[in-house]
Amino acid sequence: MKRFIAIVWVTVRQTLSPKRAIGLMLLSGSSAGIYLLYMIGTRGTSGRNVETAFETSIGMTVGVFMNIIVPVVTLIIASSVLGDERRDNTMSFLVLRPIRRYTIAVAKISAAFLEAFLLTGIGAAAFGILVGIAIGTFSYFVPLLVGTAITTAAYAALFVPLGYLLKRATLIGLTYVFIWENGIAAAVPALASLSPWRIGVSAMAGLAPDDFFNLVPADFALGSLTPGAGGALAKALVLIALAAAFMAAVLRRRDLAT
Amino acid sequence: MSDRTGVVYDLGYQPYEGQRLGRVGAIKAMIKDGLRRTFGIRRKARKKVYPWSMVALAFLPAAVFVGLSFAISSFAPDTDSPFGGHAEYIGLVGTVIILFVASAAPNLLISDREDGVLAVYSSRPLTAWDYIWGRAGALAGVAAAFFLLPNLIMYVGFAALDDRGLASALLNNSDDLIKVIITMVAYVVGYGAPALLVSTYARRVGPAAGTYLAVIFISPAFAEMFRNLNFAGSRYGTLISLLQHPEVVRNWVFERSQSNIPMISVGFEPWLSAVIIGLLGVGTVYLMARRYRREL
Amino acid sequence: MNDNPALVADPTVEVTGVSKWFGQKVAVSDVTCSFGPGLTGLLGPNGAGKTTLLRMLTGLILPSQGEVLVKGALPRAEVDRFRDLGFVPEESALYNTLTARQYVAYAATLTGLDQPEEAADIALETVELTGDANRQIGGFSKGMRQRTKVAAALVHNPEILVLDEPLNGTDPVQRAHLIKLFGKLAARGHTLIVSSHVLQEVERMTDRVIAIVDGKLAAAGDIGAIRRAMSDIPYRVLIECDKDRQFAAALLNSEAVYSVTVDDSRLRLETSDLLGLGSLVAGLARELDVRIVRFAPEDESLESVFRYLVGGR
Repeated sequence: MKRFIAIVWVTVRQTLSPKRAIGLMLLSGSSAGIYLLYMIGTRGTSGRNVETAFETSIGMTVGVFMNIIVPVVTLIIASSVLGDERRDNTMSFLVLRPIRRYTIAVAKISAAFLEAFLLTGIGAAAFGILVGIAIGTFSYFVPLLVGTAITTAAYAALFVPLGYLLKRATLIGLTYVFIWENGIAAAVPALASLSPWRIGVSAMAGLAPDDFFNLVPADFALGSLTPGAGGALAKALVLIALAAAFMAAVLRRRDLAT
Repeated sequence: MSDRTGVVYDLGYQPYEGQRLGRVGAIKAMIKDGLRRTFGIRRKARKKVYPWSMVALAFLPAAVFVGLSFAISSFAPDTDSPFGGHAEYIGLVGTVIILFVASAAPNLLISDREDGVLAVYSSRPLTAWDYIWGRAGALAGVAAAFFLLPNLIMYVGFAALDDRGLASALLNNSDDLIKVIITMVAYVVGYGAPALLVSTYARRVGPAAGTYLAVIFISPAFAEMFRNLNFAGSRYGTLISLLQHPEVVRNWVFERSQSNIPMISVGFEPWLSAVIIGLLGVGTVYLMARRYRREL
Repeated sequence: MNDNPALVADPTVEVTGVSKWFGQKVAVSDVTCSFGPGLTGLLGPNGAGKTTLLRMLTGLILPSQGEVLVKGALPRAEVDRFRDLGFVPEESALYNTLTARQYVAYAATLTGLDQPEEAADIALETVELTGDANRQIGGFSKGMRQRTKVAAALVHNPEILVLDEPLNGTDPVQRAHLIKLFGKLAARGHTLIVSSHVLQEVERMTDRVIAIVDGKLAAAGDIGAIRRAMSDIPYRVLIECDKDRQFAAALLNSEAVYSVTVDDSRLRLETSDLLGLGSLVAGLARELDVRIVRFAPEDESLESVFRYLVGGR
């Protein structure tokens, strides 16, 4: 356990520089910032009531926050947790230790999740608080946080191995997010179960009151997924386990220096 | 006395006696190096895959449709091809330019910092501005070529098929070419400047490319959000869409409908996009100068 | 008794028929050797394959052919084997945001030591970095970075230490200290494999070398014995004496002496028979009443041996 925590701690220190943290925090908090502007701009006007504020928040959640901001923030963090070790030539320090490869893989994915969720979670929390104030109830706060956590975890699992294996991981990850997830998978509902952010939205829909599910554009945001936090969590955990097993196999079988 | 003779040649340091090309030569050399780098020339084969794939993506459709027009008499390019004209083709090329500069700009700027060769440049008769113009020039030149050449293929090719004859068609359609050139400037600056700006400050090539693409592709979503939110001042938020400003200029120049673009739908004039692109270009050059004057 | 100088009697690390290629490039070709307690120098010019070989010994990369055994097992067979291994790579391998103490303590934690901070302090004291232990590695000089890596490799007192250019960037005082440290570890029975370009220092550290040229094993064993095995290359000997020209003329009469150069009371000879030359010089000196001030072989050094191996004679 000590070794696991040590790997996570050092990884977070190495990959989350102040500049990067500020930049990603701004991105993560942009939804909250824009919603705040919306709240200020429509205060006391007929343009805003509980229904419109709620609809707007759902639009922002599935139109920007969950499908773009969370994957992009997680991609930038996750692709560097092992990718940077490889490019900075510190892999030998890590792998020539009496630590199971699976432990290293899980520690790295955990570090990526913790770092990314620190940022996306704060963004989600800020957004959730503002939505709660605007619509008069905080019953969506926890579902939003849970959905964000599951989405972040799923993307961390996907992007950590990508960052290790590919030099252009960020480019390819973005292609995956913008073209596959927001393009192809949007057009084919059956592919939704392969889309981490939709898994997160299904968790949200499962935990939130029914009117959330009624207002969510189901074809785009859920596809063939049924709402349910348990199912979403299970899917994310399966992804994490598979990613960790894959990374462990890579660390066991492949050359670890070039 | 012996008549055997001999001579010893001094093979020591021999100073260069050839032509010295000066700063212009240095800048040209930098542009040439930049072009080689972006296209992977004199580098490993895998460095060529991405840039030349982009070249194929930009040029092949134009070449194919011009070819089809020549080969099949019943093929009418303006109705049978998905690219009815220059304006539509520019939409395709615009995407290719984004993907190309996302990779090219970091390779041009970040590699020099990563490899520590700025010190080598600074020991030459090159100023920071020479470096900036050399690198920006290479990127702009390539992006412009991506833009202009396929459109030239279409321009000349379809003119050759014109019933009025090549020369007449070229002359009569010359305003199309002017429009293409104006739009080219908007696209090259509009997409190239942010790429250079990100690459000026980013530490690594991969994240720089990713950050640039993220900003370019996320900004329309935010603009759409601002359009839909409809609160006091929200219309100004539609101006953050970096992806769409060159498109606005294209539509303006080619007199196309703009209603689907957030900033136009909320009442802004198209010339504002041209101003924003201009400011982006100037701002990028200024920030690059600030950064590189410290290092060179 | 072992007839093959590349093999030791009681090996901890065994390399058998190992080759490694990267695409078309063969980095190491059919190397067989072994390493045991004590210090072995691994020599070779740039690009010879030393780093590749060292990486295979640690298990960082896998051989394309052949086998590496560390204490009788494959390096990656069980992760617990890494408790016995310490590696100082040539490349940076440092986390710039950590202090030296944090970095070495991290190494200790990852290796499973109970008291990583205390172990780190001891390791840092060993490499004389205690004063800078709380500074960030990012601000270190090259020598300090090198010593930090050595400290991290030593912190868990491994039985086997693999060091790739450990003296790089160190000043003469630091170098002397590290050499002394390696000597102590070797004397205590640790297996040290040190790759270095600083041949004079390798010579000070050890008599046993493995030389790699173009990926192949070029020589192995005791430095002097390797030199003697190069029987096709005449020995160069320096003699300082009075009556230099008279002595030179007398030496030239001997068949064992190929050439003599006279330079300001120094004679430089080339001979095929070093031992016989000794008797010849003594006899002639008595006969001609010549006072010999110095008699020294000039090319029994590691540098000379290395030059012959690499320079293709």
